Amino acid sequence: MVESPPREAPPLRLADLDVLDRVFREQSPRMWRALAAFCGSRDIAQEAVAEAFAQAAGRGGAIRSPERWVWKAAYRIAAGELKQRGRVVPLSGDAPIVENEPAWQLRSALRCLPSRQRAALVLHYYAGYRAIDIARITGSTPGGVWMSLSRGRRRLREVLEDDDA
Amino acid sequence: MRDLRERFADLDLLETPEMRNAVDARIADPQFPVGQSRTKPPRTQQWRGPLVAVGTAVLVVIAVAGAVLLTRGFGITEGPVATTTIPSPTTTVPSPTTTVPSPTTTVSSPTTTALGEEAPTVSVESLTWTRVPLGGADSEAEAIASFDGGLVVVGQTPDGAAVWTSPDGTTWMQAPHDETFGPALNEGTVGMATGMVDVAVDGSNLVAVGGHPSLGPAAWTSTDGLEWSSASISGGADHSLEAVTAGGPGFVAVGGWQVLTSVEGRAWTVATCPECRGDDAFGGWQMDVAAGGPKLVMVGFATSTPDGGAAVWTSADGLAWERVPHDGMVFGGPWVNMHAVTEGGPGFVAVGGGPLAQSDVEGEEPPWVAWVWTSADGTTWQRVPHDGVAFSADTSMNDVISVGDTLVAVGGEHDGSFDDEHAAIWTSADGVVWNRAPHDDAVFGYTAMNSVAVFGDGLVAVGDGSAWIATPEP
Repeated sequence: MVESPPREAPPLRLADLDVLDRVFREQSPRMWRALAAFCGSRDIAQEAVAEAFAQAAGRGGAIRSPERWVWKAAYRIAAGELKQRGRVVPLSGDAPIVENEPAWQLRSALRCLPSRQRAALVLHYYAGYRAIDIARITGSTPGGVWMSLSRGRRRLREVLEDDDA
Repeated sequence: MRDLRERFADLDLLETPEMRNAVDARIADPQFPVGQSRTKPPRTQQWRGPLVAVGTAVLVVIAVAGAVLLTRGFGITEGPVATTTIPSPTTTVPSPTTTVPSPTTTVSSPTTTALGEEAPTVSVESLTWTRVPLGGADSEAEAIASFDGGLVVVGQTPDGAAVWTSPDGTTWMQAPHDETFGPALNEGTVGMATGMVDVAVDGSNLVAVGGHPSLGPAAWTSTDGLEWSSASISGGADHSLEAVTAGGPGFVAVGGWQVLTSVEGRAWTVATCPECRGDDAFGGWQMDVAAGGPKLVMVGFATSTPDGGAAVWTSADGLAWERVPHDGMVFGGPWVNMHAVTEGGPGFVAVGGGPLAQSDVEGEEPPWVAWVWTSADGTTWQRVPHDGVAFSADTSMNDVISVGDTLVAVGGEHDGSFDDEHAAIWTSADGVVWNRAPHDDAVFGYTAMNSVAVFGDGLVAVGDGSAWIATPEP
């Protein structure tokens, strides 16, 4: 019989898990930026990334592909939080991304797009995922992702062209 | 204007917060539950018992116009929302009445099963479409089939996989949810819900398939649509399934770079399909499967062929599959994919969507349109020439069924506004010339049709949160 660890055991730390720690160092900044662009909120992005890695750490070696798993988890946590709050704009007490940042124009344009298109564009053009991977992350189908990418790309260009004018 | 990839590279300049401490603090939190997120969204789709159902029905009677809003969030939805009548197509649907195969025959498509004591006749020329709510705002209805107990719809809610049944297409009841339906949103595995994506019927056996984005494929069986049992799956890839049909040794399920077969739906094994794998140089992703004549046909899109495009596989028995050689002129290039296939027209008809070929239009960004293909034998395919009227920009076909001599396809059209896609219906007598039903926003607005089935002397289609009933004009 396998004994359960004692309750008073010191809590696990991210650094205790080599693979996950590497994924965190390599992916968490990019993940946070992608989610910040997706949901327009620094706080939701930070909470989603932290929660995803915490959940991954809690599972230890049970995850076959930590990188894909935490991307998926972080996205779905952020999407769930957005849905719960019911809007995309920064919320009260949530520090907005300041307007003089170079990504401001893109972030503003993304806010004009539906959630599915926004997620597909960010995960494809920034995170570098293929449509099939995006389908796995977002719980969609590859065909649906491709459609979101096609429409989102067109819509985003329209919005950005308006901004450039 | 700068390239989009360059635009997105600007995000690298965003200063990131310190997150390591946040992660460690979260893990050290005594309230930290493994497998449970703090950000669990509210549940809106729950069966709340007969008392609430009665109350809901009373509200519907009192305020029919507000039926949708009043019934949101309850396990029962009823009451028409809007009605429209589609006039007769102008040219190409000659068959006024058609006969649907008997209940016990092999199903041609996951969503074409028509069962009943007598074979119904359906005249698709002049159908009156009525829209009714199906589930709540978070309900995603993926596929519909008719069986001898009425109609069954599969999909998902934040609680996980979900099933709705109806005796008439108007009043829907959600099957009681339990652990059989897999992890809910933000439970078990963070943030992901198990979903059912397709359902097939053979006699009294109902088989649904789907899965979980990280836990892999899943299948369920039922005899009444209300009580479901999980099936066992041996081997295969760890991706969700996309479709199921009655055929081959009993049932064939496809999707996620794999084909599974089962005699009765309860135990599944992997079929031989060397050209299904994503890491194969000739691999592809499977979206639908249909049985027709002596052959089974599976459709989807190429994932490894450099030029991409739609993809087709065939099998004589469902156990061994081979892919039809790629032809870019027929199957298109990147972004083109087949969503559904059925026996009909000259033999088989497949529908899907994708950008018009670059040679078809001028400009940098070709419009996204519905694509249709036909085949006499499942092996040699032709692309139906683009019709700018029937297949206008921003359309996509999601499902197709054969109703006797007539083909009916359903899908969606993006209307260019913020987040809206509306339903679209096409009919064809031969699979080559298609007529698009006129749009009525009150009936077809706000969500696409994902699936359609024959029911009685009409049709029933479903989309997210909605069902549409098509009945013959009096």
